[in-house]
Amino acid sequence: MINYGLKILLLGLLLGAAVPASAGGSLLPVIPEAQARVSETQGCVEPVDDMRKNHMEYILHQRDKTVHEGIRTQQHSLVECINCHVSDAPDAPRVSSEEHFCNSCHTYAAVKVDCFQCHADRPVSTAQKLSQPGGGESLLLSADRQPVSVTGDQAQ
Amino acid sequence: MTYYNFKSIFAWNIILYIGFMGVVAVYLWMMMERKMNRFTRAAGMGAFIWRLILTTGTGSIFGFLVARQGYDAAIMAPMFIVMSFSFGLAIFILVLMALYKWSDRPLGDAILFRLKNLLGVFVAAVMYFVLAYHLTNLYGTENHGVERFILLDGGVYTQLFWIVQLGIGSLLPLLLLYSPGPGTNRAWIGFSCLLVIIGGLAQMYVIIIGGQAYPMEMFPGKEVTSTFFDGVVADYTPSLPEFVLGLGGVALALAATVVGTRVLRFLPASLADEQVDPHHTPAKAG
Amino acid sequence: MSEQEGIDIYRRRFLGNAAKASAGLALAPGIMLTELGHAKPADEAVTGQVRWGMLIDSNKCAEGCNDCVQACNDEHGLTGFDRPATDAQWIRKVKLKDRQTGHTQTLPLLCQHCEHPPCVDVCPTGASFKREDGIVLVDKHICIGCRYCMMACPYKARSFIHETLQDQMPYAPRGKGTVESCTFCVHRVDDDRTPACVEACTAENHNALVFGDMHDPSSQISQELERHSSQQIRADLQLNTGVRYRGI
Repeated sequence: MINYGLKILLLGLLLGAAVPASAGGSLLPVIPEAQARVSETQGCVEPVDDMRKNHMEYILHQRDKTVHEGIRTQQHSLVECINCHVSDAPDAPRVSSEEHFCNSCHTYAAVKVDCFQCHADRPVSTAQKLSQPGGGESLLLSADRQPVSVTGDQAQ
Repeated sequence: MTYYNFKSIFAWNIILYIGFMGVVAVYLWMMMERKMNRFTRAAGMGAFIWRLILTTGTGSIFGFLVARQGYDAAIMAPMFIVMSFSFGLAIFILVLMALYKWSDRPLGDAILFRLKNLLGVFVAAVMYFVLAYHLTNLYGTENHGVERFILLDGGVYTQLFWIVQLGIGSLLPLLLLYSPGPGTNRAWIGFSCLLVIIGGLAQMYVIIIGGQAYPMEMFPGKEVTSTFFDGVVADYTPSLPEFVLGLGGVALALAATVVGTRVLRFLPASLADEQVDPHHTPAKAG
Repeated sequence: MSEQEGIDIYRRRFLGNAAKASAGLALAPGIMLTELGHAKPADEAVTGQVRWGMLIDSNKCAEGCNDCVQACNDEHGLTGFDRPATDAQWIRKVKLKDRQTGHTQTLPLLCQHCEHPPCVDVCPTGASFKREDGIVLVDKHICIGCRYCMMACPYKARSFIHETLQDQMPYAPRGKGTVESCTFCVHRVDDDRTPACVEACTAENHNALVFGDMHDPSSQISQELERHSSQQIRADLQLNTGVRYRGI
């Protein structure tokens, strides 16, 4: 909380200092770099222009194929999007932040993204780190959440 | 990939309820447009048949649930129809009396007594269906558990069943409606309608909540315990938002009726005895 | 290099990773991959030639042992909110006591993955569905949260998420306003692995749970089911469950 407030304060100060200096300040989103490229010639799993315009079509199509038919190719898988586009650093931005890959653009375009009401907004490697014993369980289980009680099989 | 599952009675209910609004709109149009008046009867019959199907659907939401001892019965559909006749007519009588009082229109005894006699028949019919349902369940040993729960030791459900549904909501109004004194008194008739509605609410509570509160029989002849409330009666009390939501639905329907009858010219100007019954002979002036 | 070549390289790299991952799994102690015959390429749809099932031997299920439940909770990131009446339990241990004889036993109860699932029949939107290979799932994308399936399920196997969730497992998406239940660890099954509960039971050497293809006569589950008598819970409903029990 304090961190967040500090960041806003700093951002405000920076903006205040920056605006008079650079009149041509861009409003475009700052999109975080992906972890890897598909190939030397191509960045994303489809040409970048296409992805920017149509990524939701690809994900939607893949979603039905995965859930209903068990097709688990990785090219258009949301999990793989996140694996590549979100860092597994402990302080990597969450989807609520404008610094998160998805939200950076979605905030700019004013389009609500609801994938992450159910889906993880951080990569598989983050989840693995968190679920390992002693591996930051406090992070996984925030204050008001307890592990499901499994103490014996007695009645209530 | 959302699609309409036509095997789901829940999905059918969506069509049936929305369709009913359309059917009633046509019925209203036939009544209001003089040129179309000759179709009024047909449209009314159509609306009546539709609501029979509709209530069959509502009852079947419970009747089709094979898993639960309290449901899974074909009698649910006709029982819900008779219940809707009974509770619906009780509400209708109260609304009719209120509308005629508020708009200073005459409402004669002839029509009112006809309606309250019919209400008595419906109340008795509901009791008959409840009796048939429980007798059938009591005959088979497999259903003794759920019957014991509702009829004997189900706490609030048992009390609601015997005291509110049967006592206050069925037997008492039946007695009032057919006894010579209160049966011809408007205040008593209105009060009886109120009792029928309260009994109806209790009956719905016993069916809907009680039927789900009783644990499902998965292991016949065994006591079941677990960390997931197996074999335990579910604990439920309606929350304030749930209560208000239910009340809001009733309020919305009543508000629509009041506005509708003021804006559209539906209410007969008079339901006085001589208007209702051509053979009516006015009581000799004393 | 053409675009297609780029994608091919990408695919090959993924395949390589997958191979490494499965090699790692095979080396892990206590894990037996007995059903390797079913390797399905990731881009192929599941078919009805396979029917996944589970055989639970109540005689081998140890009282007081909760390893299957814990494994499931860990695998899917199931956490509670200190509200036991609504906290999710995809698999639970139940204790049975015969009213006449007093005989007690314990067994895990989970979604029975019926051939004719009542939850699928009653679902208005088709969110409750059965995969071709017999696994019954909720498509949370189209679940409207009406919970009629929870009323219809004879096994009380489903739960509803009342709270806003965060940090779900990437392979087990779950969120507020939707119904959920055991998925037979579908993400593992599609990857030729056994469900987490089975793995945990085997690791503990209880071996009460056997998972496999009931359509494959050579699978362990088919052979055991053929050799020994087994029961379905609520067999009277004729749902032809995918989970079978011994010793109840």
